[in-house]
Amino acid sequence: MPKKAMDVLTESMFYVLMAFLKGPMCGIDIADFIDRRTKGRVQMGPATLYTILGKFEKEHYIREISVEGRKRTYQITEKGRTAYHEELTRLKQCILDAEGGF
Amino acid sequence: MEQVYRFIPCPANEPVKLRQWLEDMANEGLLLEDIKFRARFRKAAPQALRYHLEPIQAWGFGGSAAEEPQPELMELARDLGWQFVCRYGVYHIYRTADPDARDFHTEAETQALALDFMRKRQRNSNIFSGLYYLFVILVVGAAPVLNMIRMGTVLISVLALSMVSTVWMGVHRFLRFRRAQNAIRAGTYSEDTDWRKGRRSYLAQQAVVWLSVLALAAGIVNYQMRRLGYGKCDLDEFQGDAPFVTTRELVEARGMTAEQTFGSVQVWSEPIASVNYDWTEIVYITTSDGTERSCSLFVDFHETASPWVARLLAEDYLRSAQFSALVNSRREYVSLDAFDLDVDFIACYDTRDIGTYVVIQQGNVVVHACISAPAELVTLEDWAIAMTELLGR
Repeated sequence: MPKKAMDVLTESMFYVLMAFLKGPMCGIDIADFIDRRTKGRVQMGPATLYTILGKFEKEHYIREISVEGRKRTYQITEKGRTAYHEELTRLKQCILDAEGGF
Repeated sequence: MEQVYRFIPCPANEPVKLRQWLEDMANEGLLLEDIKFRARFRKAAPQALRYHLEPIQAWGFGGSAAEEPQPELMELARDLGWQFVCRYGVYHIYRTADPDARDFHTEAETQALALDFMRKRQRNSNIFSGLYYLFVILVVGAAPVLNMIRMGTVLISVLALSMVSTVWMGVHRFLRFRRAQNAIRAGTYSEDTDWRKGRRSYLAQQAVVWLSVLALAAGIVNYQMRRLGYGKCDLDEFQGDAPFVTTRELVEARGMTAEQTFGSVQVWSEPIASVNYDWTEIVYITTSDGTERSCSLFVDFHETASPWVARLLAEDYLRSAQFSALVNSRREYVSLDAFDLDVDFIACYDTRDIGTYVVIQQGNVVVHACISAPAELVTLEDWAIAMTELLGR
């Protein structure tokens, strides 16, 4: 059966949650964080980032904590943190599986 | 600054074609400024621009789309070289002159997710319009032939056509969103970019849609004006003979004198009923002992295209009265024994608030009438007997 959206985090989703582990952030801070952390490998389009933020807010992975002028700041929730760690474990397992050889 | 207007050559639910058209316009030196029913361009030097149409994710109160994207999204897009231009329907339109500007969407799964909101919105809109049309069908369909004559065949036909096309377009859009989502996820999404293909038929479709909207509006105005009494003329001014028995004729035949005090008539024609009368007559009757009594007669007369249509119409009158009793708490529908007359169809009912009605169908003629008068002077049965004799002749 095909997986539903959010069953597995996409690469962009994973990095967005990773950014929030550093603390509350706005969209532009997240884009900067991902650029720096991946040294430009993961390039996130503006619509990709804001679609993810919208979806995460709806799924209660993050919540908006302040709006200052144009800037909306979000914070990760416990549910978001759990999703991130579950994905991290899954990815680690993938790497272990790959490194286990054939 | 010179402005140029152009008709949009492809439907709003084909964003790839639309994007290509805007890019081709830029190559011709036309920069989009705004787009509603037509696109407004500013003349400039021909240039290679990239456009992007982003599905709107959030809607305001009452389902209206936000005119502008979130300010922070606009800022981030600007940092990446994209400039917000305007909203068009369910899209926010951006453009950039930088051929290397980062794509708006950099991940297929998220791009498909961005269509989620629009797909769900379209689904909800389909459900609501479906329920609304069901209600319209129940109301109009309770007495279809009668409503066709009362509201006009053209209005009913345009209404039916617009309902069918709206439902078809709604379902088509929903399926299109779903197919696009699946194709984006599977990495097989590709859409024809040639906006010239099908342009003529799209413009013709648009012309038909607008003509239908105008016809619908004109039909509704005409129907409402008719309901409000515009087009009715006073009986004093009415030239011609009514093809049914009037109160005056009925009472004068009984040796009484009738003085007309008030009345109105409307005569119109429809494709399924060539002659239609809506008749109201209120007269003062002077009896043999000199007393004056008032008497009212309301008649709907129809000469239809065939006896079959006439029978449907007669039955529609009964259904319409039943429906009216259902939605109006002060009204009832009580079926009464019909008068024993030699006609193709006859039925009587009482509404408790206005009075007793008779529906008679003979051949392709239908009459629906109610009389309000002192029973010792004239009754509905007297009128029905006289009417049957007239129809027999």
